[in-house]
This record gives sequence, structure tokens and C-alpha cells, in this order.
Amino acid sequence: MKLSRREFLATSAAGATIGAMGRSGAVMAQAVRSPRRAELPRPRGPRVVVVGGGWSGLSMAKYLKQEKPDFDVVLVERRAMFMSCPMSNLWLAGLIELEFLVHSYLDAARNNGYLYLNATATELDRHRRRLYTSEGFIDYDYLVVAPGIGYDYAAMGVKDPADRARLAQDYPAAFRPGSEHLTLKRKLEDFDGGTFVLTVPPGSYRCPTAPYERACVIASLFKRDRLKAKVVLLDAHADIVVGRHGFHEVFRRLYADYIEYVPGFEIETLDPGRKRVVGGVGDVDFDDAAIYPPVRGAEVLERFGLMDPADPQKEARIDPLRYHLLGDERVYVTGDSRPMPIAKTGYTANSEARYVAKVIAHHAEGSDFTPWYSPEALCYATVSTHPHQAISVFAHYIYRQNEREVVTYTARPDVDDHWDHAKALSGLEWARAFYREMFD
Amino acid sequence: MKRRTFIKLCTSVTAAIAANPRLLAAAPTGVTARNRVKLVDAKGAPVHPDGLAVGQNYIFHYPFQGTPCFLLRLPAGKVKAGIPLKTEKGEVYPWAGGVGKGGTVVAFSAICTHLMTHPTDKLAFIHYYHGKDSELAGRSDVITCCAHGSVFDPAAGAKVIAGPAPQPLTAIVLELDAKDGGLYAVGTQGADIYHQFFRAFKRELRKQFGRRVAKREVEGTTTLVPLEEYTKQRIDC
Ligand SMILES: Cc1cc2nc3c(=O)[nH]c(=O)nc-3n(C[C@H](O)[C@H](O)[C@H](O)COP(=O)(O)OP(=O)(O)OC[C@H]3O[C@@H](n4cnc5c(N)ncnc54)[C@H](O)[C@@H]3O)c2cc1C
Ligand code: FES
Repeated sequence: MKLSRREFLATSAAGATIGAMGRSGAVMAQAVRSPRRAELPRPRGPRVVVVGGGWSGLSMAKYLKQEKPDFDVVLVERRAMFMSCPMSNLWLAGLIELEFLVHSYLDAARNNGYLYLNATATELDRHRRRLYTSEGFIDYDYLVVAPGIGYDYAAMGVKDPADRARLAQDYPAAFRPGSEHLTLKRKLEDFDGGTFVLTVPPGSYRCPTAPYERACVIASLFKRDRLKAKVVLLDAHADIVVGRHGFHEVFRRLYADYIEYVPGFEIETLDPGRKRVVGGVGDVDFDDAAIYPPVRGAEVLERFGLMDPADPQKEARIDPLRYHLLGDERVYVTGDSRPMPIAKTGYTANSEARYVAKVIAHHAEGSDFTPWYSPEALCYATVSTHPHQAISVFAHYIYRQNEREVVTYTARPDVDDHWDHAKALSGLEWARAFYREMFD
Repeated sequence: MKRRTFIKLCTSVTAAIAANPRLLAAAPTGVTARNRVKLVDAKGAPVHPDGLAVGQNYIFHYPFQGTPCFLLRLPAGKVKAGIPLKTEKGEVYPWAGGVGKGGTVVAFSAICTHLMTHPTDKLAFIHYYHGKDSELAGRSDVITCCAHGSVFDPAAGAKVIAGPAPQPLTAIVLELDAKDGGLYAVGTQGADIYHQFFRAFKRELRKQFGRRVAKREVEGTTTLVPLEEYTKQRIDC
């Protein structure tokens, strides 16, 4: 696709704004830009740099290499070790070991024919096709940015930056893997009773089933230990977002005394000092909490100029069918930072990557665009830990193009509300298969 | 399968046909000829189509000692031998079909073409449903993989009818022996994911079969076992 005149003007205008940026901006850019080249072997084919080694980036790196073996793929990831968000709720309940969730980036790269650079991507110069990282810069032919999500505490009405920092530290959401999850597990082990608040953020958030699954897992532990405790689940949505019948049944039949589900709860602000959630319909005090704030595209999108300023969730400004930045077919954004209303899940990230890798490979070969197909999403959500039982939730997407060529996606969730142990085992196999795919 | 190997396969089939022109009428294209292996029961006796129960999942290993396959006797009148199927790379092959009366005895690799989930001695997340619906498929007479919900139609060469699998299950080409009337496996058709499979499951295969055993080609005979005996737990979905 050629740049349309309008898109071209738009890009140049953005360039001009950056050029006219104040001195402090320029100085800051100088400070983070590393003048040296990252230590990598010379590219042996078109170089594709993937930023972010989550479910999306790992899948992209693998499938790019598979689609076009002469691509020289470099995965830039700031973490030294992978930890999986999917299945982490089972680990909170002690059903699996941490080893099930953590994997080696070195294995992923060695087994799939690409390079892993343990570095943070800091700046992007699209005109020179150069990515700056904490370990030096890399010149690319194609860039895939898959940085996941960010938390938007400000959008939750928490105005004071000190309160935001405190919330993030004292009541972590545990929706970005790592210390947040370790802290949540410790909190649950230490919890002696009272009210444990969980929140479901508005809009499109990471893993539609996970907050409900987590409520069940925590309630299951309270029930097992006969604690005088309950989970208060404050949902910004009018009803359970996915798996509605299943989760309602589970709440009613298994956790009537342990889960208080509050739909349509709009958070006005949060006071971490007083342990209080202030809502339009009333306030809720808690003894402990894991506050899941509204989700936004990862911060790096904004820094790289890839964010759509009109998007309330600050996600990427990309073509919804081909995933490239509007006006630049060398830069792609995938995974949870995409703006399309596709569920933000590991499975969709993987299944989308198979397709986007084809799009990029075709572009590099100057051949035709490959037809769009729906990413897949089948998830197993644990609803009880002792015994271990799960439900399954399924969604797929259709592509619609109306007369004005505006593209929309429609999710058609389909739910199955029987829970059993077989589904729990299938859930584990679900994950094992993906880890195999990404790391072996 | 890489394109080059695929062409090579076709050439080997062509060569076989040249050597024996009678094969021409029957020889399906895209077949990888492999060891001719006799299917036997637990007592070592040949397996006859009539002795198989309709709807039962049977497991045997072919073409390698660690690669499980399904042998199924499908209900009569449904099998669509010759239907064109497509691999992920776009190679088209007409399904060789089954053997026995009405061609109802069919065999497929039991390794899911999505992310290679397969029945092991412990668990079977993928298998054939008959006389009961697969919940995820919403129907019976399908092979469903519970890992991510891929559904295959065994009467149509294990073509993908739902879910993420990018290509049909690899078909196992069967033959009935003119002398003993028993079943033989003689080749494979379609996806070739064995190399990936051995790499990804190296450790697990070593545990189940012993060091370096899984990769060895099966020679002579291979034993047929009902799924319920092969695995500890069959998972339905
Ligand atoms: C509790 C929980 C349960 C879940 N359950 C499921 C489930 O059952 N099924 C399912 O399909 N999904 C599930 N998910 C969702 C799934 O984890 C996400 O949708 C998936 O991780 C999205 O992949 P991603 O690659 O877009 O983002 P991520 O996996 O978050 O990866 C982004 C990566 O980018 C890196 N990064 C960011 N910025 C930079 C930078 N500047 N430089 C270098 N690296 C950078 C980050 O370190 C990170 O590793 C669950 C999530 C949670 C939290
Ligand atoms: S491995 Fe069978 S559906 Fe994914």
C-alpha cells in the first residue's frame, strides 16, 4: 500500500511537532539515546525487530522466522525471564508450581532461530528506521511493537501521583506478571479475614475472564480455610463480561457466603490511606485489595509516537486489518496494545501473530496481502480449587465493512456453564501447549 | 513439510507407479511411502476390519515408535474418500480414504496439527466421539482436541471443521493384505510434523518410551490397543 497524500501529510506533521519540541524534550531524548550500536551479529536478511517478549512478541518472533526463514529476527525484551500471566491464578492457589509459569528467553530464541536481546526499548526514529535500546541501537527493516498493557490510575480518578504510586505498590493489580503476583500470593497467605476487594475495570481490559476467575480462586481458598472473609468484586460493567451464566451459577452455588458481586460499580476515586473505594453508588472499605485499574496501551506507544491520541485507552494508531501504523508499513503493533475490540488474551495474541507474520512476510516479498481471518479465543477458567474445576469460554470475531469502509469487530462470546475437573485438566494442557510452542 | 520434500514424495510415488502400473488407478498423490507394517492385536494376531467395534478409539504407533495414531471404524455410508485436502503450505492432496467394506476403517495421526497435543499413557485430550456429542464441537462423529478446541472430521480425511488447527490430521494410508486379510499401514499423507514433534516432546517421549526409542521407525508389526487401555484418563470436551 502506498501512503495516501493525507496520511503522508499526517506523518510529516507529526515529525514537525517533534522537531519543534522544546529543548527539555530534546535533552531528554539525548540522555536516553545510546549512541552505540547494540552488540548483535550482522543481519543475514531483512532485519525484523520485535519489542516485547510477551505472548504476542514471542509468537511473532517465532512465526516471522517460520514464514520467511531469511528474516533476521531480534526480540528485545526488558525482562530476563518470562513469567506467564495465564494460569497464574492457579499458582496463587498452590495448584501449580512457579516453574510451570516461568520460562527461559534463551530457550525461546535458541529453539526458534532468532536472537534475544535483554534490553529496554527507549526511543524510535522511524525516519532512519532505528530503534534505541538500553543496550544500544538497532537498525530495522521491520519493527513489531508488542509491549502489552499499562495501568491508567489517573483514569480511575486518583489525582495525586503519590496516591497512584501507593496504590500500585500496596494494592497491585497482578495483571502484569512478576512482583505484583508474588505480592498478591503473600497477601492471600497472610489474610486472616475481612473484606478483600477486587475490581473489574471498564472498557477493554486484559483477560476478560481473569478477574472473575480470580474472585473464585480466592473465595475457594477462604472457603477451604473457613475464614470469616469475603471477596467483594466491584465490576465497572453492567454484568459479568464473559462466561456470564457460568460465573453467576458458580457465585450462587459455590460462593454465596464468600463472594459479593457488585455490577455497575463506577469508581470515582480510591483512597489507599483509608483503604476506601469511593463509588457513585456508595463507598466500600476494605481490609486488603488487588486493584485492577483501567487498562491502556503500554506507555512505550506514547513515547514512540504510535499512540492514537483520540483513543481513551491510549492504544495504537494502526490499520485494524493489517496491523501497521497508519502511514508506515514498516511498523506494526500487536497483542494487548492493539485498539481493536479483540479480547486481550494470550491465545488471541498467539493466533493473531500467525496472521500478522504472514502480512509482514508478504510485504517483504512484495506479494499480495493475505486475507484476514479471525483470531481464536478459547479459555478455561478455574472456578474451584479444591477440587480443581473449570468452565470454558469461547469467542471469535467477525470483520464488517460498512459503506464508509469503517472496520469494526464484533465479539460473539459463547459460554458453557458446566464446570468439571476435565476442563481444569484441559486448561493445564492449553497452557503447556502454548509454552511448548513459544519456548521449545 | 518443505516444498522440496513434497515434490520428492510425489516423485517417489510416481516411481512406484512406474514400477507397478497397476497402482496407477488407486495410488493417491502426496503419499509418503513408509514401512509396510502389520497391525496386530495384543496376542499378535492380524487385525481384521470386521473385528473392530464401530466408534471405538484404537491406538497404534506409526510411522515411528513414539508417534500415536487413531484407527477408527466409522459408521457406514459417510466416508468421503478422494476429497481434496490442503496442508498449511497450500499443498492439495486427495485423501486416500479407508479400507474394508465401504472404506469405513480409517487411520490418522493422533497428534493435533495445532500445537501437537496427543494421547499419552496418562491423558488423552484428543480423541474420536461417537454415540455422544463433543461439547465443544456441538456434535458427535468428530475428533476433538480439548487443548484449544480443534475439531476434525474423520469421514472427510480429518479435515478441520472448527478451531485453530491449520491443517488436517496426517492421514495414515492403510491396506488390506491379500493373503491374511489383515490391516497394514503403508504410508502417510498430508502434514509432516514429526520433526517438530520429536523436538518439542524430547523429554516427555524419553520418559514414556525410553532413550531414543520414540524416533525409531516402526518395522514389522505395531500393536493396536483400545484408547481406554492405552491411557489412564480420557478427557471429554
Ligand atoms: C491473571 C491473568 C490471567 C490470564 N489468563 C489468560 C488465559 O487464561 N488465557 C489467555 O489467553 N490469556 C490470559 N491472560 C491474558 C494474557 O496474559 C495477555 O493477554 C497476554 O500476555 C498479552 O500478550 P502481550 O504480548 O500483548 O503482552 P505481555 O504478555 O504483557 O508482554 C509484553 C512484554 O513487553 C515487554 N515490554 C514492554 N515495554 C518494553 C520495552 N520498552 N522494552 C522491552 N520490553 C518491553 C514487557 O516486559 C512484557 O514482557 C491472563 C492475564 C492475566 C494477568
Ligand atoms: S493442540 Fe489441539 S487444538 Fe491446540
